[in-house]
Amino acid sequence: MKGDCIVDEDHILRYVGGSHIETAQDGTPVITGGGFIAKPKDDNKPSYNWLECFTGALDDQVQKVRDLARVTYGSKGKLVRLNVGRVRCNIAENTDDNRAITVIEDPLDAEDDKPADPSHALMTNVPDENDPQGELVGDLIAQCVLNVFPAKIGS
Amino acid sequence: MLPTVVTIDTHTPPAIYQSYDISSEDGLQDALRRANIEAAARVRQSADEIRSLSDLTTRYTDPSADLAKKQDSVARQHLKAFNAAKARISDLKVDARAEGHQVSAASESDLWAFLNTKVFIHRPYITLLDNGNLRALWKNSEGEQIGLQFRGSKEVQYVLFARRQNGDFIARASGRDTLANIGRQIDAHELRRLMAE
Repeated sequence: MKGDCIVDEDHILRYVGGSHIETAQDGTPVITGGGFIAKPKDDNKPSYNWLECFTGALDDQVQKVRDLARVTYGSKGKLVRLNVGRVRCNIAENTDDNRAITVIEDPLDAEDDKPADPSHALMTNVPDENDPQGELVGDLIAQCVLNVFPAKIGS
Repeated sequence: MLPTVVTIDTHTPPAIYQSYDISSEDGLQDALRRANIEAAARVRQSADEIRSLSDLTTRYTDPSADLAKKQDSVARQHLKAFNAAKARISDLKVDARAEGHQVSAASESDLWAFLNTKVFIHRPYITLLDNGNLRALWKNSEGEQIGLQFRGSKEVQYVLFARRQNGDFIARASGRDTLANIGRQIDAHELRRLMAE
């Protein structure tokens, strides 16, 4: 239900654009903190997708997120999987103000030709890139990345 | 005839050779072995009194050649890292243009001002933030990092993670400083090694 907290055991997916992704010497993608912090339009609540909202195997859940996406994924963009509890804990333990973030359900209704997206979620209390705390929070989230999937299949 | 090789260790007292017959090959080798052992012992005993690189060696080495070789290697690695950073920024600008964004010229200018004055042998990860600023990130597998957002106007926003020597503790610092002073922030957290080691 809209506004309900997603439990710590569950997982979320974040679309990270190509400009926030680098490549390590061994060729693996390096997701940097800039991909997780709020943009001015986000009002300190950047968008995520709640994976356990969908049934099935992980790859199927990720595909459902792709199918319902309302942003146009870039060819170099990635979908990044995180555990809610691990992110919340890493931020609370490593910020001066023991920043408490939450991830809340924010399902999107069907709109024009776009189907409803029940997985849409918001991470709250995330500063933006113009705030030094924002970059710190972004880097702390980047430390929690579990899996990286291509945003566009075949890319 | 005395072989000239006897003079290789100018720090060895001549007396050491007096108990050896250095006119024979075996005697010479014994003398050299003894000289090396004693020289090494002296270096160990007076490590804090070393005055020149030649004090550290009993071999035919030219300290200035070693230094030059090291400097040449660092210079080559720096150049390679510098060129990789240049290529990355160029790619980011192309990608940004293709997506209707642009890289802040003031941010890019400050990033170059930083890279041009620092010796780094590892290229930073460079990313483009949504506000158009460039961010440079050096990190290692120990969870340490130097993260610098170049905001233009000679201002840098930093996020530094530094592991302390006495255990698992990681110090974390974030804030803003001037481009001229950001090196001092990095040094204060003993993180320059992420760029240059």
